[in-house]
Amino acid sequence: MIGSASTLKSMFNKLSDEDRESLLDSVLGEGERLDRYIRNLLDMTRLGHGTLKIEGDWIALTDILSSALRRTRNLMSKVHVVLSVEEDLPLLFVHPALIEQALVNVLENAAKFAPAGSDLTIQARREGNELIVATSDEGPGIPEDQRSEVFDMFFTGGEGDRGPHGSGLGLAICHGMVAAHGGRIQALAGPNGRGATIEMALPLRESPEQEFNRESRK
Amino acid sequence: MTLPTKYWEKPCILVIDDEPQIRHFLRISLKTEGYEVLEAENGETGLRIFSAQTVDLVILDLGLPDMDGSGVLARLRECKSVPIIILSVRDRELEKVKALDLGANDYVTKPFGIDELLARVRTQLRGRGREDNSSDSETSAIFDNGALYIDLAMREVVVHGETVRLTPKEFAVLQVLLLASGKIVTQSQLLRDIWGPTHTTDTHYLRILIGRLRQKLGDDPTEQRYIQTEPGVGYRFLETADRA
Repeated sequence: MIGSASTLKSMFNKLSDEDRESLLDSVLGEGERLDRYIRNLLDMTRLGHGTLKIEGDWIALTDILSSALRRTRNLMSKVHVVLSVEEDLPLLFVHPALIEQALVNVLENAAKFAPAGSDLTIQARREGNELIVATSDEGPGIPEDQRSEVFDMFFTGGEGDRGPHGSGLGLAICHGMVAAHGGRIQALAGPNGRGATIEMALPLRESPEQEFNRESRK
Repeated sequence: MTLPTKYWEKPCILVIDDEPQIRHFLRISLKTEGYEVLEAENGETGLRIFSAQTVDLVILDLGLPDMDGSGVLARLRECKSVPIIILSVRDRELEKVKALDLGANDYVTKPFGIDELLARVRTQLRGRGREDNSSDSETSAIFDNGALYIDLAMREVVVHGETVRLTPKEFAVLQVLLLASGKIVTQSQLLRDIWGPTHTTDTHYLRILIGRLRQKLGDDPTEQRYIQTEPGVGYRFLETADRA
């Protein structure tokens, strides 16, 4: 980011419009990456200190998903998002911003590994007393012996805080936020043995739908 | 006593934010868009400028060094009814909701892109300088984008040529959102206005009703075209919907 910005500053008049535009894109992209990194560090610190307060609210998974997809629009533009959300899913009782952040991190992680133009599938379904959200990419996948480690803090699969492997915080935070809601998260092989699937399971409370039906007839 | 700016004059925006970088880029971008810009780096200065000058809109950072953001907001609201857009950080839904309840008109979450802020500013300044306030609601009383037609006065909703029947509560929610087109409406406000003051925390009523309303309007719950949920805060009828 500093390199791009200083190039713009020193050579502004000598650069072509295209080069300026591309350097500006780098500054913006790097700024967004740093913002995500700092936000992750702060989230991790709050999780570690136990200062994360859960403020539960009834919310539809589709509302959280919609907001998470809006926030990751730039990163997701290189993949083809396929949504498969079961109809009439019950409402969740969660802290919306935290589950949204967990989803954003899963999506960012998937987008990092997904080849350009590939399918990134988000599937949501009810299983008993849980709501399952599975995000699958068509990237290189996660070796079986590393699937439980991907949720460890600073696990990067061998690289620093850059490149496709990132900071090693994103999925650790997901794990923390989902666990704080009494849910589970696991890494699986992708569908048909391709890529990776990250599956979040969130507990469902008794649905307030019946009470609503009584109330809305008034 | 200062008079409001006439519509042919440049609207004046007061930016109250302690971060010089934010003021810097807002000064450049807002001036480029044709606004007058006044700046304050803390709450006291902001309030002083606000009472001495003609201001058409305030952009207020809630994290000021000298005063609590909601304190500044309350004092701004005591004087004039100009639109106030607050700047807040992510994960602070309660702070945003509190500010909206205290009379802020909308919010933008830091870090934000300039396009998002400019859209909020334009929405808030829409209809400025007109003698009567009714023109704004009149223009919003009919919505038509080809796929969806809503006539609030006739209580008529047509989706792809088919008339759709809404329950009284569904219509009431749609009406509130559409009349505030582009602006945030908090979930507690909708619950208070439509279900009554004892139901302000019964968000599940609203979630289920909005789910059914979206279904009837032919809206996608995940890629929301008409009614956008801002989780933890409220709902917004998307002004861009007619460009879909």
